[in-house]
Amino acid sequence: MAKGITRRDLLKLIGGSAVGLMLTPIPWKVLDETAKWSQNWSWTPVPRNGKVNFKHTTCYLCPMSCGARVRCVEDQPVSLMGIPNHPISGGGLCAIGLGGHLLPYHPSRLLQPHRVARENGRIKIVPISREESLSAVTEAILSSKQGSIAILDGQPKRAISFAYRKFLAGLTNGVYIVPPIDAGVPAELTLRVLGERNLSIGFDMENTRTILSFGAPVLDGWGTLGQFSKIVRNRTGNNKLKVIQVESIHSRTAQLADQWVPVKPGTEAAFALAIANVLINEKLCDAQKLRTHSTDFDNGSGHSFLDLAEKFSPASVAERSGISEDKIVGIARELVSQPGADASPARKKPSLVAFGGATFSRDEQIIFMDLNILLGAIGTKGGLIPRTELPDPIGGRLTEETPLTDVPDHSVRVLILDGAESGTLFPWQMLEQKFVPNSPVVVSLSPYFSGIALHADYLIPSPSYLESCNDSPTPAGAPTASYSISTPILPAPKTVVEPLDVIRRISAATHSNSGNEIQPLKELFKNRIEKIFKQRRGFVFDASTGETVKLTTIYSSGQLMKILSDGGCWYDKEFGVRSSEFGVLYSFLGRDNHGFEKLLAAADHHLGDSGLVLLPYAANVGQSHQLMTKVYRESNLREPGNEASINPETANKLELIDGGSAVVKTGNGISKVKVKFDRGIMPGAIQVAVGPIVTGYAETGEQNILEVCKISNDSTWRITKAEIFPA
Amino acid sequence: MANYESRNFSGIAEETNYRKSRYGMVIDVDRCTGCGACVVACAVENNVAPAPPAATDRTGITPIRVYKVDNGLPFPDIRSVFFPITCQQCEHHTPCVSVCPQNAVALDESTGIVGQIPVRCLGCRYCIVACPYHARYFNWWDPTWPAGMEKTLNPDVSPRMRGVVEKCNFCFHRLQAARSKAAIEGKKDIDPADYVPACVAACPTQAMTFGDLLDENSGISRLAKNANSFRLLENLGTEPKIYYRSDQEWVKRLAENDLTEKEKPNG
Repeated sequence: MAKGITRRDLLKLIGGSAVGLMLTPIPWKVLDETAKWSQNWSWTPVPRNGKVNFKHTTCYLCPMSCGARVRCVEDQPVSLMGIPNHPISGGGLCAIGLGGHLLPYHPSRLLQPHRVARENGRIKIVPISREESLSAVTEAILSSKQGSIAILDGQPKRAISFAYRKFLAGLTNGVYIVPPIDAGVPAELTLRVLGERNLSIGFDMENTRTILSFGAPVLDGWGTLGQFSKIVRNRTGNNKLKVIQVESIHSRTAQLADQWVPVKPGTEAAFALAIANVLINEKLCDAQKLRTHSTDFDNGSGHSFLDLAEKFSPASVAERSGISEDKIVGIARELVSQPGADASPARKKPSLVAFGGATFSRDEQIIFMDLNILLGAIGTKGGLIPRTELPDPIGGRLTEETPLTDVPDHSVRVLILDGAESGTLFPWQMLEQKFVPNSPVVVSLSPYFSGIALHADYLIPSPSYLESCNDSPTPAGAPTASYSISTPILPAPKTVVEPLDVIRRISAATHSNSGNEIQPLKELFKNRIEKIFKQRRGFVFDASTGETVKLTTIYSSGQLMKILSDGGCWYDKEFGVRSSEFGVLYSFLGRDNHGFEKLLAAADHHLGDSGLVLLPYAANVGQSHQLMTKVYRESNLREPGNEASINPETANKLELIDGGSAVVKTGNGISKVKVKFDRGIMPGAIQVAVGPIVTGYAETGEQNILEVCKISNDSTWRITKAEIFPA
Repeated sequence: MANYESRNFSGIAEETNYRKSRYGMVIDVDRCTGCGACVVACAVENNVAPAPPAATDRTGITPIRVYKVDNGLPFPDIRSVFFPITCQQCEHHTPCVSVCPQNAVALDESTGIVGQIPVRCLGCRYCIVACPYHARYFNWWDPTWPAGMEKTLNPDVSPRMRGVVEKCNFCFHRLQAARSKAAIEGKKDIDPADYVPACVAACPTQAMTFGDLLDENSGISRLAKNANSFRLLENLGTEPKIYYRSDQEWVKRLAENDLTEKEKPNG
């Protein structure tokens, strides 16, 4: 027998070893370890350790004034949450508020002033010094006497808003512009109803029985977070609040409402007048009282509101609105019915009409308010209640508030964008048409290069949220007045500039307020808090204890200041203003009863059945915020601005493919979109979400569907005739 | 708050001497407004990195994700709801546990929480395939944040590395913190108010209720037994511990995957 190692033995050894190795943990361990080695890198961040502590502040990322509890590691905020029992926010925070501590590090954040250069359609931002930026703005203001100097204030009624108004009052051509509001009643309409300038109107929705909402997001972003969240929570049982949503768009509130009334676009006011018609003809309103309290309810002059309502019978409106006559009559009866035939007067709850302010014209809003008067909802618990405005923090002459729609076209030479989020989205064209033809200058004070700041010529960034001191006045639509302060948690970078410092510097350079200097912000807060303290009414919420006490138990304005600076809140008592049914003789048809033809035209605003219409859809501020993260997008909650939802029936006729590319064309331009089939969209309509294209966390895409929407003569942009083609 | 030794993302208790619990959740879809607060709160709490531009709906990470579903009827009869979907915390034949070759997934006997141990995960993604609820996500990219934002990371949770799977673990680190607090106070059991996942705490309409399903006196126990409460794909027999609630019949039928031909969902 031959001895020695043969080649076969070697092969056997290798083969046996290979098989045997597979039965040991070695290859699996190596595979596992290799995976780990290739996955763990030094650049993976390690969370910072340190002492955990909590601070309280107020969110000012939109006008809702929510209380925020900030969890910090040492001095660094690491998370935000609502403050339990907070009287305004009810312990909640919205999606953007919960991520507010990330915003100081957002890729769109600006850390120093810039000049914007536009060449061949490209935007280039060039860093400049603080002095250069302030000098450029001052020079622009002083350069010519033609055209006005305007400030657009995203959140009016703040202390700094009064500083802006004082600064502008010192100029001969200053204009203080306020944006349209989504929630609440515009100042002009409030004046017509209550007859007093220092009052506002709030919606007491918690005590309402039925809300007839015309496009107002009453269940997902209206008034205050605490208010609408509570309504959603309490919608159970037989005595629950009922919501009837009149809206062409299948919005979130339409989805959550008890009844969705998908009227054809543009027929909302006609629908409201048809409801009024039923209330009057079926004697479901107190006609005697209305005759007493109004100049034109039934005056036989030929310009009576009765004559107007008579022109909108349920049968005629059914045809144009697409809602059956029976349904219109049923809704009108529903609004005045009470649960149980023997409901005592004390237990009776009124119904109210809410309307998405910014999307409707002034005349349409008058018609909705008329319906509230017919329903007896003004000055009633559960209806529209008057509330006081907060005291002014500053004395002297102030420029009046001018709604954006009232600013004359081609009149603004220098526009300063305050940078605060108004919560209302509107097309840039609304501002653009106000500029003088030659070289207007736009200055943004926003901490970010996003949203309307993308149109600015100079960027002078202010501190970001949590870096700056700010105050939060009463949210629009809230039933009671309130006041809170946002205390900075983080130090602001030295290279950014507080908006008040910008104004004070320009004021000094232009000598616009010589001898009448604008006080520092903290002084303005102090003045306001002292005035609130002197009123000796309302309640104070202390965020550190979670308790609410009467203001009368607070011993000094200094103590009140401290509580508010620590995330607390002052709020007025319910029905802080004594009110009769409504303060003055009400004019249903508008000023001096001359609005008959105008209201008739507003209610007749119907595009007909031919052609497609583009309906821009603005979800609440969190969903359409320029700075919202991509994390949020991936949840399918945020519809991107380049996605056109369309009914499959309409899409098939136009040979569009679900998920395919298409082009939306309007009189104002084109927008490239991705088609999404959605059975919730009204046939004949194209619904596109307002907001940027989502491309990642640093989403600053300029395309926004509002830019191709047409602004009507009545300053609305909710309906635009459009075409859509496969791309 | 949790101590730093408890900084993990595993959801696996190291000791089992706690009172046996079965943590679960009831989500009232009729109250969900689709605001997205739960999604953001979860991402912030669990240090989920912003996805890169290339991420898609499937490759981004959302341990809780809100879908919009409808009754399938044409306009104007269409009705829809928002449906938050997270790990369903299956109690029985937990599919992801069964298939994991690395023992990186385990059902914690003391709490019923299905945990994921990233450092054990090989990234084979069998569990993603096995999960009937599409509630698991793979880390396709290194976790990176815009410059400076890494300072905002929650110190109680480690960022997961590229190449591993992750999912909701009911914010297990919050349970550890509650247990530490109870221990310091000399109590054997935690105060239920001390252990609430971030999504539940953030929900402004209180559409989500969390608690111990074994506690007969708890609100969640009563809600889970409500006639209008149901679970997703109950016919699979996995006994999920996430319950949903709706007064709308079509929503309940949708959960059973038992819609008539006329009512096929869009979502």
